[in-house]
Amino acid sequence: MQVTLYHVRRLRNATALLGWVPCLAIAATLPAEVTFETIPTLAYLVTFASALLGGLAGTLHRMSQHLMPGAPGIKHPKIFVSANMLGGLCAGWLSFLIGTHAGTPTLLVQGIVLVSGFGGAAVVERFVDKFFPVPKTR
Amino acid sequence: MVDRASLAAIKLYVCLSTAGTLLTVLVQSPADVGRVLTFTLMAIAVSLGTVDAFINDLLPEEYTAPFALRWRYVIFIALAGGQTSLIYSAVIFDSVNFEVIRYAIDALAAAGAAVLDLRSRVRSGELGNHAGHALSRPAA
Repeated sequence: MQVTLYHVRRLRNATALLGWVPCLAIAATLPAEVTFETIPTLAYLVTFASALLGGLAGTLHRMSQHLMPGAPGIKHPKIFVSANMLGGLCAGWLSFLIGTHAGTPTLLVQGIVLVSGFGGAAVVERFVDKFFPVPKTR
Repeated sequence: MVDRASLAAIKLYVCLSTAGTLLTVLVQSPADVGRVLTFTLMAIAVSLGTVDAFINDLLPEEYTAPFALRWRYVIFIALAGGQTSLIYSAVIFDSVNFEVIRYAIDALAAAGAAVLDLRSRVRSGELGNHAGHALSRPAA
């Protein structure tokens, strides 16, 4: 089998994806900060909803831009929506953890979660474009 | 499919309800950086949302507010996010009361209006009318 650049890129992408596994394992062994233990469970649920809203804002905005007359359209709608929502959720949660750890005021943390969710969706969308490229027709 | 007038009514309700919430909470609570910034941004979102609902949805098509039309989904999700921020603040400071239910309803209404608006625009052909793409109307 001839090894082409396509195979190398697939291997690179798989390695990048699997690299998260040992990082998560290490993170699970770290001691939890007291700050996070004082936050009620309902607050975590509300933050989850805020992160989802941030991702939803990015998803809807980009869908409207991709579907405008003259724009390229959306070839894989399920992947598009999933990637944007997942990106928003991950970025929102990361911002919440960083903001809470830094002692940021409560409402400002939620604002940062929403903005990060909006931006995170864009980052993941570009990332997914590399993993799910549209095959070029010969 | 939800018609444009119904969507405009939902949007105007969300904007007016959020404006009422802002006035109520702003008067009752002390100001800090996060609160002032959040309320300022929400006030801007309320203004833009009202402009979008009134000009882009209710007035005839020759009248448009391009900025509000381009960013309408961000505006209404920002309104929803503002409501969830108020819920979060109430939960953190252990001041949950029945008003939290109204915030949740307003957040759902704002997010629902944004999703239904995009769905309505795609179904009507205003968006996504690309032949051969997954999200498009079938060719006539």
